[in-house]
Amino acid sequence: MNVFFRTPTKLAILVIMAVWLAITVSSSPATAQDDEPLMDLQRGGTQFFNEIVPSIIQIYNGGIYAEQGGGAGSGYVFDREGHAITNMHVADAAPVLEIAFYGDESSTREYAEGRWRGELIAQDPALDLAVIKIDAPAERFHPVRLGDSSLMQAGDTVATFGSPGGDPGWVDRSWIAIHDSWLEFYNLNLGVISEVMDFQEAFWTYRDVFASNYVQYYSRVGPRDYGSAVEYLFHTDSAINHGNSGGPCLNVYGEAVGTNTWGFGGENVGFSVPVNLLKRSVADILEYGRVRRPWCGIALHPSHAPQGELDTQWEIGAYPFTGLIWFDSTPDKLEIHSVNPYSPAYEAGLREDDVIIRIDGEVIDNVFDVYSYLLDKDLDEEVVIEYERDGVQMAPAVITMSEKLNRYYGTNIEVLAFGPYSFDVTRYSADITY
Amino acid sequence: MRRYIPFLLAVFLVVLPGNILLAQDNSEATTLIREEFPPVLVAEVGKDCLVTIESVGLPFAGFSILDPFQRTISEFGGTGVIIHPDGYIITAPSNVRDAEILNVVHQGIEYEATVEMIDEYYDLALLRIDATGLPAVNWGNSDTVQRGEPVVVMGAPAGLEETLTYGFVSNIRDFRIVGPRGYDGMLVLDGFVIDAALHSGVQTGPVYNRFGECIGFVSRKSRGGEEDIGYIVPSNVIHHVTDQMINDGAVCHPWLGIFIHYDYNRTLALYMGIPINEIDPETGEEYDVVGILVSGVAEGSPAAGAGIQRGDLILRADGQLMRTAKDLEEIILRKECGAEVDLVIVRSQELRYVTIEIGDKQEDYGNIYVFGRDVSL
Repeated sequence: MNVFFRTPTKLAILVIMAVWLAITVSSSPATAQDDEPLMDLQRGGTQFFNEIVPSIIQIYNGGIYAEQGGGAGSGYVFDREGHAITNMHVADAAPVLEIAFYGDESSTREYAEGRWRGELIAQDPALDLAVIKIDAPAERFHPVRLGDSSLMQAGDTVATFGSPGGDPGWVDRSWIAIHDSWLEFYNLNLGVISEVMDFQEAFWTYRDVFASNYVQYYSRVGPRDYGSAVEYLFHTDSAINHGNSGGPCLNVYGEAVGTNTWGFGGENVGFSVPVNLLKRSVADILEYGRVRRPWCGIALHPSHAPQGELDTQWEIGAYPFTGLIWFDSTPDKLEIHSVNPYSPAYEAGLREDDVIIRIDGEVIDNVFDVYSYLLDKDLDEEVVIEYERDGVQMAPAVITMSEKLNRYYGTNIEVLAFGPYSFDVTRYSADITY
Repeated sequence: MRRYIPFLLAVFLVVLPGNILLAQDNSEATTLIREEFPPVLVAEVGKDCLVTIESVGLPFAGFSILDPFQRTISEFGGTGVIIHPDGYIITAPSNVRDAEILNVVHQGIEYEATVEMIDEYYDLALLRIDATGLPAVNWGNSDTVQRGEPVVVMGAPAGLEETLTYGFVSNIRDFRIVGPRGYDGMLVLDGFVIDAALHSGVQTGPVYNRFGECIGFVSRKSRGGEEDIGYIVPSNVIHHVTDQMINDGAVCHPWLGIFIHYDYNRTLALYMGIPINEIDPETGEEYDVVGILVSGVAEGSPAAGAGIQRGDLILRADGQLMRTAKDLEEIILRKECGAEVDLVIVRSQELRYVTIEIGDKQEDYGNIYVFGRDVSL
């Protein structure tokens, strides 16, 4: 330490200065604003718009002649390296991803010049999530903060951002081509969360969405296993139209609390997947390039599902998209419908038609609670399942949760398509999500 | 280290007044000049200028065998707005078209109205009632509107007087008013998109900001079936148009008289024998496929008078390179009737320079063949 700091009076001056600086800096307006809401339903959100809009991207996943609303979606940048979150149904199966930021010349025109290239890193069908990387200079990235969606309640003010497929008044396709886009660019809608749906309700909603969306979309690639990992879902009255898909649902502080997925097509019924569910998958994708969701490999009969909605014909067509097997007969007990032969559950001794009594010592009588419990586990965590076979209680099965081996998850597609765990059509009923 | 003391003291002294100034600035910025209202008070302020249009047509007026159930007159009442204390009212043309008896109800009093003017391209009808000292709409400046602002929409949809919906400005963008043919109304530059609910019959209803000023009038909903997308014509545009209606008795719709159908692209360029990747003779810069292809010219229009022909490629307008037809339309719309626009066109692989005087858009395009639904510029 030098002479200056050893002198007591000078040290005192320095301390006073430091305290003064600390007080002035901490009371400066720039830091105090962070906790104040950027918008409310009385004053609107002009400041909110200006602060959030640099994070919002427009994603074109085809040529300019894509069908109305079908060729474009939205997304939001969430880190400084240019990673963005969007919906899988926006980014999947796209020959090329073209990105436009707010203020780009190309963002309000139909021609593709000047758009940035995007690269699909990986996707998570269970959450309709895709993570893309944008090939643009670093100064273009203004990440939006990811909030805590567990704090959101029905009645909270939210805003949805995106580029819905609007109608600028051009009626002819050629006219659209020479004039302007069919999109409403960077539309801001304000509303409230109407409902926070629980697993069962979210699952049914989500299942219907994906059955209807994906039957035509993926019919050419055959049956797939899409389990829903949406444990809860936000229903908002802020408008979500075609083209809003992938855009953020934001709270009043400008933090993303969800990703807009789907609109009901009715008046102001839109759904967004809570961001807390996405965080784990996004972290996995950034670290490993794929989603590592814990999986044990069993499928259960739906014991407490709303039976009125079931239709055998329809369910048989739809189950590859949900990952669940639905039958006419639905027993009241937790009966295992099928077990993937390459799964940890099979190794631990579980077989078809076994009846689960307890999981980790607790009685769980709802299928959705079982799935919710299993989804919260970590990789390599052990789950003890007590079960009985033909009315005889067996020794408990100790299952080590492992990564789901699904060739449709991100980058491991090629590896698994030809590996020992490749998709077995004769046994695909046992290729289960949970 | 002793030599740093003056420096540190200087920093100390600079930081102190600087912070005080900063704090003062901040407190001044938060004080608002205009008074803000909650939506309830906006509705109180804004309802006085509203009127309900009640029109009765002859039996079978406007009856068409092709569409026997179409409604050509407003049976339940439509929205009108008093724009001038001397009894001038604007409303949608569909409310007054084919009307035999036309009444306007304002605050419970019924007036007999006459149609002064109908402007199809702005989709606006001007009525007049025999009264003075009426409460006119509080015109606001629509240039200051920002995205995210709350708005209150008022109107009398289906005769439900003083109906109010609440929403926000979602977007500011160009859009087209429904014209007489359904697709060729005027282009509104920097119009508003709002997410408030718009009921049918609320057309020309005033849209207020949170200061109780009218920033626009309802034009239409999205025709693509999207929810919560409504188009608002800015009040400055309507003010300009209605001033022309009241003072001049005519409204200018800047127009050249050319029709554009095809997107001009590489294939068309090769077909027409126009070289692509050409060097611009004026600036020396290389350009790719640019330009607007003229697919038709209206008879008697300014473009026809200037010798524009079908098949010409408009390369520049007022020195600006033309990429899409909208580029040209924007240039024309920002001018008044009688102003001139300089065009550089390519015909038979030769550059030509043409100056056209902008005219008023005709009701009748003349005897020309138009591809489908081209919009005329």
